[in-house]
Amino acid sequence: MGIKKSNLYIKSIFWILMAFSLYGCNTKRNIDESESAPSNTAFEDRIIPKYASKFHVTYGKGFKYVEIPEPYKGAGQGLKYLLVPKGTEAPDSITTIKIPIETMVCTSTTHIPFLDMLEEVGKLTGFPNTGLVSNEKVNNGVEKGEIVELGLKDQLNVETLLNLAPSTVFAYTYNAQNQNLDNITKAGIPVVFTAEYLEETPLGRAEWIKFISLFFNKEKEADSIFTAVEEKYLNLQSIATAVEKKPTVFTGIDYNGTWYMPGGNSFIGNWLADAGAQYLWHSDQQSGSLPLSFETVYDRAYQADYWLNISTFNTREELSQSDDRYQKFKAFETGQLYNYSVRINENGGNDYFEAGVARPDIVLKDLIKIFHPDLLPDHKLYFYQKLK
Amino acid sequence: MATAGNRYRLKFLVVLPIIVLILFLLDISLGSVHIPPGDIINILTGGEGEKPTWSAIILQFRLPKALTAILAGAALSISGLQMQTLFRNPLAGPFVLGISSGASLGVAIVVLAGAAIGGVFLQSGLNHWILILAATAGSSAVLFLVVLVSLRIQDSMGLLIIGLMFGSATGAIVSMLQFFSSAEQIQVYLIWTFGSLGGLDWSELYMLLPVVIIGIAIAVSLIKPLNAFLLGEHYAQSLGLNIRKSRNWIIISTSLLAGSVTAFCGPIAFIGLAVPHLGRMLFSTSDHKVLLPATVFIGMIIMLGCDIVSQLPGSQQVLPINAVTSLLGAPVVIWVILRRRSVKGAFGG
Amino acid sequence: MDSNNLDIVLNTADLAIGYKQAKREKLILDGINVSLCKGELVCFMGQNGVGKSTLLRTIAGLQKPISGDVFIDGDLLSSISRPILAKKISLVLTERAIAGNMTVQELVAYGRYPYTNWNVSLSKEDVDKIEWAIAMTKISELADRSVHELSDGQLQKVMIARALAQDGGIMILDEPTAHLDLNNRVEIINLLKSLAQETQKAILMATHELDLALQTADRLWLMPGNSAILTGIPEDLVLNGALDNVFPMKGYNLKTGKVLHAQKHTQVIQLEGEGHEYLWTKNALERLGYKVSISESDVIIRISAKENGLEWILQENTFLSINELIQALKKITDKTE
Repeated sequence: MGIKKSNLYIKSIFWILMAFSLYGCNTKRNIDESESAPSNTAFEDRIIPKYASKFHVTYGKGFKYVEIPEPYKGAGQGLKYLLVPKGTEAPDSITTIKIPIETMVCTSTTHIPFLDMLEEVGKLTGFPNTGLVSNEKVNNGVEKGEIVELGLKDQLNVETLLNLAPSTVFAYTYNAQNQNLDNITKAGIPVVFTAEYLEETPLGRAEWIKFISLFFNKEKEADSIFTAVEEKYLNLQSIATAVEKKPTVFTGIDYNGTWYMPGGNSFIGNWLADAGAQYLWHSDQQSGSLPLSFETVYDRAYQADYWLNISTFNTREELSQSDDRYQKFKAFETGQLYNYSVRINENGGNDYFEAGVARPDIVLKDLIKIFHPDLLPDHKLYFYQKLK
Repeated sequence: MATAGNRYRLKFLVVLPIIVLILFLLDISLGSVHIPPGDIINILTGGEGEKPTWSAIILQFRLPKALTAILAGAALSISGLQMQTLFRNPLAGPFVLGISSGASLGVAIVVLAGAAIGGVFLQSGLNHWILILAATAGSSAVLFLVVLVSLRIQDSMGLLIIGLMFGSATGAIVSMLQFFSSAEQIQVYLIWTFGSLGGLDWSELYMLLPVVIIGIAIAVSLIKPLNAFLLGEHYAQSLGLNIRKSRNWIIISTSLLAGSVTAFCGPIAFIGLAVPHLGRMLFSTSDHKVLLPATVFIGMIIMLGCDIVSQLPGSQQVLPINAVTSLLGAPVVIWVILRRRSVKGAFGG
Repeated sequence: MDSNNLDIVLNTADLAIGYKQAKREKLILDGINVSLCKGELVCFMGQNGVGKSTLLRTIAGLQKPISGDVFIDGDLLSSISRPILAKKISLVLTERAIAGNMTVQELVAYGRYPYTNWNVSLSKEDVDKIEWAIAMTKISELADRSVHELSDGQLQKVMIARALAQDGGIMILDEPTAHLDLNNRVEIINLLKSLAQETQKAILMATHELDLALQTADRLWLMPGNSAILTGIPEDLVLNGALDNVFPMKGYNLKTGKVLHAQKHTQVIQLEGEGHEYLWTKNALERLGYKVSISESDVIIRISAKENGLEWILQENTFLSINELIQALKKITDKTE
């Protein structure tokens, strides 16, 4: 229902825009003026998201129309952006971004690998909590002072940011309220919200490189980068899923009596299935997490072969100390316990949440190596490690 | 003075433990995983269930959880009763002295500020024991301050205000920490504030049990001073009571009970406030000789009931216990006030 | 003074009362030497704010003196442990808020707390004492009522019963008649008077009821704001003017026990009559500001008793009520003045 509605919305806006350009209306809000603008570019390299469902793009003469139908979970309203070449007069009815952008600020580590792969790290002038970043190029930029530290934890240092005057801010939000980002918008700097974290498949997340590329007119590069990742991923997937004997697996730990288990349709659930494992909650077709009781998890998973994403603990001893009952799982006895804490930097930033988003194929490789070591004899675990 | 009223009360005091037992068995029988009653009885009597997981579910999950419910219900209710009597205020609860605020502060410091201090280890800061230690340290620190203040302050009203001040000050620090924390850290903290009965394994239960027993034993030994406090501190003193000593013991008992439960289960709302009122209403007395056991049993009953509801029997998912206790507790308080038409009346009868 | 009386149950020696806060001392009064004897009702009077409650709290052991000593049965108060003291002194305080749902009987039973163990089980003797206290204060019919259903007067009697059940030699009451109507005030004071006589307890009550105290108390303690406490039997204190010093009253003659009225009229009225009718007529005239005299005047009012009632004769006119009389009187005096 929600999706249908938003599709309708895009279509109607699209047709209104088209109508304006056809009839040559001369109001200020007119897109048509962009027609006569110096760079009347027809964007020839176009992307179509194949896996990602949380952004849409429509190409027109001299503009790209981008929509984020659900910028955060449960959002009632989508966000719309108009990307136009420089020198085009912007209508004020829609957030307009002049592309290609010259400088930018982003707020999520997930944006960084995309910039790196598109070779646009140089455009990044500020980032909050640079300490959490694993990417080497960004860290170099920070050291050289080319990338400015923009705050503490989740709070943005708005003044410093405004002082940088980036062309665009890439941000994410978990809800409608964000005073800081509102203030940036009011100051005339467009804020683009990304929603890659809501994607349900690993490839869907990785495909957001295409979204970022829209702002640099690098669709072509993005397409080839993504296609390469996609190919690797699909290859691995086909090898792994062909294996007949699929080990059973479950994830996470109990938080005070509630065990948040990723739904069968979540990107983690899909990752595990693609790695040739039998995810025990695969049948729950949810994309979010299921708040389960400990006993439910125990009842279904006590004989599971693998236990993954034990993010808190690095040793079996730590795990059993926190709750005796963890010892009752078969995976605990056999020691098939894994977390993804290998690439955590000294400030607690985890590359799994950074590079792992852009390179789901590497994560998949790790997972296949865990479940089916014979298939990838030469691969060394990159993000994952076994608990000691 | 064995009046008709007393006999009625005695009868009721016999009925309550039976209800506790029934709800206890019900709590063990109901859960996300369906286990037939026959197997439950087999497992409880040392036998085996049809499926091997069942005995672990009963013995390792449901039994500790039900026992935790019993301990937490009794402990919080008695704490609330003692605070309402000490402050002669119907809206006092186990946490008026700032015990839960202190515990929250401890947890908030570890979870929210931890990343800045301890890096990786605390960034993952979900370790159960760390949370327990943090909560215990926080509530003990507040308790220490309260006792220190109570040595200097004559009347309990002043103590109540100081407790409120501690509460709002720690609340402010927690908000400040939240402001500087990441969404993930805030989530960990929020999950803790939801409260939980199911997070305890046997080894944790073995630690909670003696503390609760000691706290209740102290409360029972305070029956006489508690009754005397109903007349006000001056009368209590004129009846030969050392009010400062009694007050300190009441604070210690409350802190042990509310502090330990908060440390292990998180701040569980409303039980401590609502149950004493239920006790007064059911037994229409203020005599702690009756009220104390009544409150213990009613607290157990309510907590077991809340736990059964929070398991959403028949579904695989669970609700946070705090949501259930608040949903059940708020109407109780409203009902008490409507029945008595005024808060003062609600307290007095 | 009765310092050599063998019946003394409480006395003070150069007692100084006040508050100690941090390092500062606030002295209210020093040089207090008072005593309390078995079987007497002592009314403790003084204006609001002079420190009556402080003295009561100090001699009841709820508050420490600044200096000096209090003796209970000849023993130093500070050497008596609180549980023992509770068996010697019982209190009725001004605070009324009882935070609890209890019956009259349960409230009276509190009086036995100094005698019970930790779980408050009552012995036969305790039960007997409770019944006795209830009977003495004549509240038997209230015994099973909830204390919240009681009127102020009834509650005060219950609080007295509670103090009685505590069965010490001394009972101290802080303004037990405040907020009560006249009937209840009289009843409470009479009750205390008879309790003092029948139980031979020393009863000390702080009160503002000057008229009732003068008529009922065996002795008075008078606390002026600025000088030493005066004690004595009421009549002596009235006649030697001590009461006038304590209550520098405007418009009240302690010796006659009557309110003084300002004289508004120059006209002197000669009133003839006797008995109650004379006194009440005089009262009415004085209230209106006339000077009433038995000596000769040109305005004469004569009271005479008829078969069907009283009549007042003023300048040959006959009136059947004082009201009619004073209306006519006003007309005459308005003309002449």
